[in-house]
Amino acid sequence: MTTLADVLAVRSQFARSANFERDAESTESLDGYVVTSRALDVVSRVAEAASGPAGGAWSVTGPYGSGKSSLGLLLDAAFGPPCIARERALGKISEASTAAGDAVLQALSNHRARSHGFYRALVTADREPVARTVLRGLHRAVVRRHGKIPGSAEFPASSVLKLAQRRVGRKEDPVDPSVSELVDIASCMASRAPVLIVIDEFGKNLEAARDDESSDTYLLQRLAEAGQGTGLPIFVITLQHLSFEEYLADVDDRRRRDWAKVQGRFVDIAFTESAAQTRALIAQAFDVGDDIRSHINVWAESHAQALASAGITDLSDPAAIASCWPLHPVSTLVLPELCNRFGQHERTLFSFLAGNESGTVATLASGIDMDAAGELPSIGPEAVYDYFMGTDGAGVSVTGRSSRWMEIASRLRDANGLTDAGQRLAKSVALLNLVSASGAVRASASVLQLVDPESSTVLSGLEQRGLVTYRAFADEYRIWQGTDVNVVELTAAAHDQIADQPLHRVLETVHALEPMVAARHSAQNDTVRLFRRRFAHGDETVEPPAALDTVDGDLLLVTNADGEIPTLSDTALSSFADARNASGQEWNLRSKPVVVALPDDIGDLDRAAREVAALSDVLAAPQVKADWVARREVGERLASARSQLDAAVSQAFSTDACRWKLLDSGAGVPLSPGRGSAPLSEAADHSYPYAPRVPNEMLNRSDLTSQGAKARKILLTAMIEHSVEYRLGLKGYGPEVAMYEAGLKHAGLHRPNRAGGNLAFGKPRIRSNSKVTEGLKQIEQIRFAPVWGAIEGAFESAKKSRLNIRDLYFTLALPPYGVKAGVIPVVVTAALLARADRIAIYEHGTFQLGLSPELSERMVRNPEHFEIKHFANISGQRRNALDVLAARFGIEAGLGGRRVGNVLAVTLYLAARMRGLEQWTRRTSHLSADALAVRDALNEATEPDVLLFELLPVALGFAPIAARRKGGRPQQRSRKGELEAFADGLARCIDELTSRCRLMVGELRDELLAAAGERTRLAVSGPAAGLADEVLDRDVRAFVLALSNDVYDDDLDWMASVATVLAKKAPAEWNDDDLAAVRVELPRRLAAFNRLKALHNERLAMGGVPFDVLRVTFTDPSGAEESRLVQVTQEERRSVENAVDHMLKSIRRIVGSDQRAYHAALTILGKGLLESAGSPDIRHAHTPMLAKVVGDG
Amino acid sequence: MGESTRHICGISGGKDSSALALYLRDRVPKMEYFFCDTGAELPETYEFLTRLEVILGKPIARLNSERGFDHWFEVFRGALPSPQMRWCTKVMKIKPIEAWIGDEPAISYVAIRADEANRKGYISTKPNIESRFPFVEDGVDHDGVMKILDDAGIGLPDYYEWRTRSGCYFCFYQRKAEWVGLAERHPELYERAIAIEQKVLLDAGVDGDADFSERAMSGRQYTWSGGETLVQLRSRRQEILDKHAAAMDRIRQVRVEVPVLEALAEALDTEDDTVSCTVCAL
Repeated sequence: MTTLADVLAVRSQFARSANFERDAESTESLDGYVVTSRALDVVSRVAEAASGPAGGAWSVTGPYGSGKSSLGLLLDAAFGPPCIARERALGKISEASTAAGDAVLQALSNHRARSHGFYRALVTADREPVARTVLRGLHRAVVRRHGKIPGSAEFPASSVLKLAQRRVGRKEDPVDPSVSELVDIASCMASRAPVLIVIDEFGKNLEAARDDESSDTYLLQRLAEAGQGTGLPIFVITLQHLSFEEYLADVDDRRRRDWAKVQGRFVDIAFTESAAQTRALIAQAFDVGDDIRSHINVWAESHAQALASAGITDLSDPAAIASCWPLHPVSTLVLPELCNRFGQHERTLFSFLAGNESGTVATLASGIDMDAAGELPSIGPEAVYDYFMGTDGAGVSVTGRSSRWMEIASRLRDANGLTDAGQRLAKSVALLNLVSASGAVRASASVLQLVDPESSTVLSGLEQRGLVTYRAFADEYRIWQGTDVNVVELTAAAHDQIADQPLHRVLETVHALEPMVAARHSAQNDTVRLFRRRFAHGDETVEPPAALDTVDGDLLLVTNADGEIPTLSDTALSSFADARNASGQEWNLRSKPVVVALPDDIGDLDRAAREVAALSDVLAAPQVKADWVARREVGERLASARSQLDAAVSQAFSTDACRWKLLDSGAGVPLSPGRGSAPLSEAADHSYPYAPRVPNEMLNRSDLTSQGAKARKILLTAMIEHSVEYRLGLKGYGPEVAMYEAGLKHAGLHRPNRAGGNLAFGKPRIRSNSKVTEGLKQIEQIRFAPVWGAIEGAFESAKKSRLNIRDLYFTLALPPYGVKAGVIPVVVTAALLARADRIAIYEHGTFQLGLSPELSERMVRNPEHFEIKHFANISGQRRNALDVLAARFGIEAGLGGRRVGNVLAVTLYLAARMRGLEQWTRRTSHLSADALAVRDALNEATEPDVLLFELLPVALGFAPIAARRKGGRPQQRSRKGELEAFADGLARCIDELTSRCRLMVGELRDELLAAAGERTRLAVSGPAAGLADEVLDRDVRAFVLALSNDVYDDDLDWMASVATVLAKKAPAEWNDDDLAAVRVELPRRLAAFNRLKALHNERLAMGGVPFDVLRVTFTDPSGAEESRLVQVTQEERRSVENAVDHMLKSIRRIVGSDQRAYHAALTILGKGLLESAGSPDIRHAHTPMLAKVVGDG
Repeated sequence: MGESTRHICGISGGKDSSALALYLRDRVPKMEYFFCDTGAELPETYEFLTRLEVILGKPIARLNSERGFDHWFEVFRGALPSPQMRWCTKVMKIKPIEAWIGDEPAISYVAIRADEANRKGYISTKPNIESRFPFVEDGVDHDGVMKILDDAGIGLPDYYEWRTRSGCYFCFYQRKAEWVGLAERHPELYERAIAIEQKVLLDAGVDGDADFSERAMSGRQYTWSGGETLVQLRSRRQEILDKHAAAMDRIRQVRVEVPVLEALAEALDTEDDTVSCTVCAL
């Protein structure tokens, strides 16, 4: 079998990357080299310049793999000493252009360098200062020419070169050569022979220059200048991927300007190739046997027509198509663009054409059968696709549009079970998708037809599978669904966007800072001090954290390197002044500490932050969001940028890379760096010298856990309800017990007032039984003593006006105390309990009876709703009044034997007495004038002292009791009697108020008994019980049942229940109208009850014969009333009814209607009954002529 | 049951539990009565309790009276209770009851009538509490209850004139017509309910208090009555009353063969009449 390989030879050129150091002396690298038009351009320029006496400088900018390094090698060989390499190089150049070859020879001749060539300083840059690179190059050039560094006789710059070599090479403290040294060396060389300096990878020098400001800019300028004009024959060529400016995009303007100046000395040469030129390169790579040329030409002719009809004018010349065989014309079309966009240009191209790995044209050729019938075989786009997608293929770089690659690749990878034709076409579509932006070269039906004449059928199959979509608007088939995202472009734009933003703003958005613990201080003081960290700029005015903020301070990471530091706000500074003026204590700030870290170097930080910010913006861009491939790619870059940023942050702000200061009103207090969080600990030491030590992690924190909050609630409740008990009555080993031990017991806040006395809350005191050393004693004392002092101070200030509890919280939370929010309620509660008899508590401005668990619960939650006022140390007349009142009411001495009878104790006593006052008593006017006035005073007063000394005395007709005026003389003794009278009057009124309701019920009871004509409750309730089962009328029945109810021990309870039934409301809830109504109703109901009782008794007297009975009462117009029991036995009833019917019929004839007949008969019968009256049952005198019928048989 | 067994009877302020208390007045001499005070009961309820206490001749223990709704509202920082978040029931009813009962053995008498044996009252899950249902045992039905109340002369709580159940004045189970009733009978309580609602709305929108959002934002309700604020509800007063009257008429006329959709709509419309707070309606 004849294979393609048999008829095709592929020249290997550009197939591997060139390397100055490795390839400079070999000729192999030149073997396959093709002098492209742009390479020729550079050679010509250099040769032309070298023909004159002066030098020149060029910067050659071109993408990876475009053959720059090979060009360098070509120049090296061409200007080298006479040898095979120079012959080859000159041969190549002359082959491309005789003029250029002649120019090179001319240049060599002009400089009399034909025998030895130029000094050729070929060097590959590293990430290092240019000086070092140039020195290496110059050294090499000298050594290449002379074999070693010649003596100074031969080579005057010898010692300079040796010295520079030694200094740069020594292990410790290497020193780069200075510009003048290098210029000296180069000049010395140039005086002997022209110097050709070619620096490959010059971008690395530029990167180093970007990072290191000290790197000199002027070396190249000086070298370039040295070679220009009438200067020395020094030729400098730099090879790099991007323009100088792009490498220096994010350095400051000044340095960019400097570099712009440098680049101005160089002639820019863009090293790029057109597609047509690339195709010419391809053509040069293939060598085919003459015997198949005719085949190829036929093949090319037919394809040229097809291409022309598809509108592709780029490649419609049959000769061009033929020259690229065995590449299929579509492959030829896409390759240049593909290599430019996704690969390393020619290097990639020639890897594909000539490489030894699988999938290249060279290796595929051996598998393609040339004997098969049909069309001439060719390498179709599917092979190109396979090669570029292969992991060991072209090494597609993950830049630019490779996101498209990834998506397309994964879609095709996931599509299983395609036919060969399907695969071929799908890959062709994929490839065309990748390279096409617009224009004729796209996956249109006509182009695909070129790949496969049957394409339309295959495509519809692919469409059905959903693998390929036809996009009508673009007239192309697509595999790639995503958008066309250019990540590089977007990133650059994003960089531009944020270029003007100050660094700390950029950092804020890209780098979250966790708060930091001042470790050493926290451990030593049993209190975790947390500093919030953020980035800041020196021009900021800073507000320290608020009092109840969970953090104990701020740490500002300053991102300017100019030494400017933030200043504290006026509020914070005024707290500074206040604190110092008022107390003269050693602390000097009442606001939480603000520490600043001032880094020495922010270069890396700035770059890293902006990169992260830019990539984050790109990631958030809508087109990236919509494209998972781009998203993944940007995501990966972002992750790596983030880790660089993390490193940069920790490097810039490591303790010894920074200066540390605690802000104050001046230049700040310097803090020593130390290790880790040492500066923060020092700041915390400084700011919180008086913090209590509470060795309980559950309590001593800013935010309690829900478990902790629960335990603290139990503790607070126990403090309020069981303050005198051992351990507050808490049992076991729960968290509340631990809190008690740490926060109250060891702190000495809960201890006996005196030896053997009751436990109480009070000023911190050492437990008397604990044997402690003097040092320990001081520590213990210090724990809570300052805080307690602060609370007492706040209480003192609450004598004049109320103090909001929130303000007390603030005081304690701020320096110098820094009590944690979890502890504050416990200490404050202890202090409030210790001063319970003097501190009045107000909630929402309303006086409260005292600290109760539920009040405490609300206080913990909303301290700002609570205020306190201090009522101690009343003196003078008010003092006397209190003593008298306390004695009169028997108010006992408080705990600890303090003086009794203070304002709060008396007020609380009165409040307690008034608490259960019935609604009726609160509203009634059935009170003495004094009691009414006292009641009003009690209702009105909102302040205890106003109540006791003003409202109540006035209510009772006394003058208000004045507070002692400052320096005033004591009030006259004669008021003593007056005070006694006031106290008596008040006591009387309070008694009256508290007993009045009960008294009223007693009055009703008396009225009831009088109306019933009985003396005792039993005399009423007994008979009532007998009637209970006989009454059906609802109201009467309820009344009778109430009378009969004997569950009550007390007459008055019984009466109250009867009264409740009457009024449908309990007496305590009555108003005076209800009372009046009951007073009217009671006799009426009793009268009815009496009638019922009589009926019942008479019925019993009948002896049990079945009969119907009625009790009738007639009242005549004079008011006289007669009641009688009337009856008829059941035996008689029928005949009597007949007789009455007869009678009524007769009467109706007279009077006209049934009703009138009834009325007339009743009137006559009633009169008759009254006239024949025996002894009347009851006599009343208030009802008009009305028959009342009660009861029923 | 030994000497130490307690006998307890919960009073809701409604007719059934009051009747049960009266019914057992002579039957269980050592009865202890209790009432869970939310601090937000209707004035009629408080008045009725005093009435009942006098007639019973025994105090009714007021549980929780120290920590009423206002307390919890401050503590919970503005979370409005709702059928989904009935913290009111938990903190103001169940917890205080269980704390008051303690761990001693107790018999709890529950006011479920013979004609509503399917209803569930608060039946404690605590093992020391045994529940008894005297009305069910003795066959006391609605009429029986009314007779007990009549005999005691205590009548019905006054709120029955405008409302069907006891409980907080802002009870979120009440019908819209009952809200209108509250606005008319107790304008000051209606204003307080508005104030509470407004505070919640403010907190949720303007304040954004972190603590508040942690505790209350998930699944919470911003208004007492579904779909509108009380201010809006009040402005629809006449509309609500008309609808209510129409609904009542519909209930009175027993209609036959109501179209399915209409029947379902009615059922949904009057749904909140049948749901109620089982604990409140002790």
